[in-house]
Amino acid sequence: MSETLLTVEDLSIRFRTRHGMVQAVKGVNFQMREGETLAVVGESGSGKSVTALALTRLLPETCGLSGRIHYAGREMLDLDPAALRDIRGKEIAYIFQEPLASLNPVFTVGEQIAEAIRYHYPRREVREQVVEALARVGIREPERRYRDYPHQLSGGMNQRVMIAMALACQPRLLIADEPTTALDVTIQAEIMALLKRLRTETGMAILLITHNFGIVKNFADRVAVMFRGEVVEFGDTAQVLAEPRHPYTRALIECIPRLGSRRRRLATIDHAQLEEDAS
Amino acid sequence: MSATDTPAPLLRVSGLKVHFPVRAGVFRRTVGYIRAVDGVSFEVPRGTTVGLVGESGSGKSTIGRAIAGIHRPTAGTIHYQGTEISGLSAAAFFPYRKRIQMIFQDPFNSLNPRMSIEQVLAEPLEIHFPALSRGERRARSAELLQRVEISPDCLGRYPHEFSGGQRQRIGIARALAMEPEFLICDEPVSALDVSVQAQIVNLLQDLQEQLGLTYLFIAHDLAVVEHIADTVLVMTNGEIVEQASAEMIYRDPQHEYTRKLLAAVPSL
Repeated sequence: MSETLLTVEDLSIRFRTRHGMVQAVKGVNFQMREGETLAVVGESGSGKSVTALALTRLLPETCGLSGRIHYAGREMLDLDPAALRDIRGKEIAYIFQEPLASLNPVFTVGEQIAEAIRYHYPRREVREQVVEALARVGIREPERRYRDYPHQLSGGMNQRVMIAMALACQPRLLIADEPTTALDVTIQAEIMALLKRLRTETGMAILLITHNFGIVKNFADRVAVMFRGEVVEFGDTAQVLAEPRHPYTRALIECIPRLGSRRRRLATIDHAQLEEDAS
Repeated sequence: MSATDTPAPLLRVSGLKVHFPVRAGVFRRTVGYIRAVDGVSFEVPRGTTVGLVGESGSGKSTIGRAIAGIHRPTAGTIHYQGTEISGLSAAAFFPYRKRIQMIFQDPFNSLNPRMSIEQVLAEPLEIHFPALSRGERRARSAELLQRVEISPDCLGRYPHEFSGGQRQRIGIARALAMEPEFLICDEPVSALDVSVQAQIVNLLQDLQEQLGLTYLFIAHDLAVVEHIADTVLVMTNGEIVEQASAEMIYRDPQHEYTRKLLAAVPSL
């Protein structure tokens, strides 16, 4: 049994809005082991992305954050900005849904990866590291691609660049927030295969955020299902898929169109019913 | 869903090519062509759904746009109910704009943020049903919202007040305002959560049954297409490489590219 890398205890996140306080995350608990892949599954608005951003305190200062985020012997909620900076990117890295929205259109992809690692590496090693990082994510002719701008690359290639940037500092934990949602299914399969390979090569842990149980099945060791800001189910992926205990988990699994299930009506999620059950 | 009651299909596309010129230099000289669609033929029988699958850049959206009269074909013909509609003048094409409607992928970009939902739905009515009074247009808009399962109380609201799934419903209501026969759905569920995707797919199937609509359903996800379509066309590099019933595509794919698409679907 490997060691615990991350423990989140009773995490709550509140935002002040025009319509009063909104509680986005309510007392969430989960743990991650070193090298483990945990999937956080839920619909838009369930609080999964906010939870991921809170892990390295990337949320605006005005939001109310309480609970404990214990990462590799440190309490994230107590760290000062300098200590946080050393962890962000170097130990915990992120990739997001829209690669084009995350990349700067006026710099080449090489310069952008260089910027990400300059803070953590000696200057003369930077370029070499970048080229190596591009090669590692399966980008051919990395020396040439270094000089390409994001608009010259496809969506899948840009996501590879984002992954190269995230992995350039060999993080222990990669947080992948819907990394393939904006991509074609074939490219999606390629990116997931790439993440699998890199996970084996580096031994990093991955927190995968998704709304699609189809992706979870082939990728994650354990799964946390989020619904209205709470983790309603947490367990081994195979177990949760075989015997989902919460009605919301069952609904999420059933609404995916399956090959060979022609013209049958797709299951949908009845939020009114779920809320009634909850109360 | 009977496929071949009528002898002539609602839509027949033959030898369709759409090439886009590539221009370079100070004088924007044409230096070559991008063959987005390169010799494509298929038929869409009335009341059925034809699915068109392929990756980004395979030319599937270009076909949809050529049928809707947005792109002019380089070669080939498009017949709608036996009448050739490719290469018509804007005035001659006008009646078909009503009968052929489109639903787009991104419900965030396809609604004007400055128009209330009532304006979004009433504008096409003003153009294509000029006889309607203001009150009738309003009543019709409310009715359209009900059809897509949104409360008519929402008429005065603006697009940003709705979720992605609700906006896609509004996009569908706007298309239905024209009382169309043929809907081109260009990746209507690709940008949505799986749970919302299921709702929209079910809604499209219900509307087809209630209104006898015919669909061309464009998507990259073979699982969704196989679910909703009667016939599936598989497209890559501007050409259709496989064409079969949805069942056969899944049970016995012939082309290597179809097998690749099937393998890419994350399975449970």
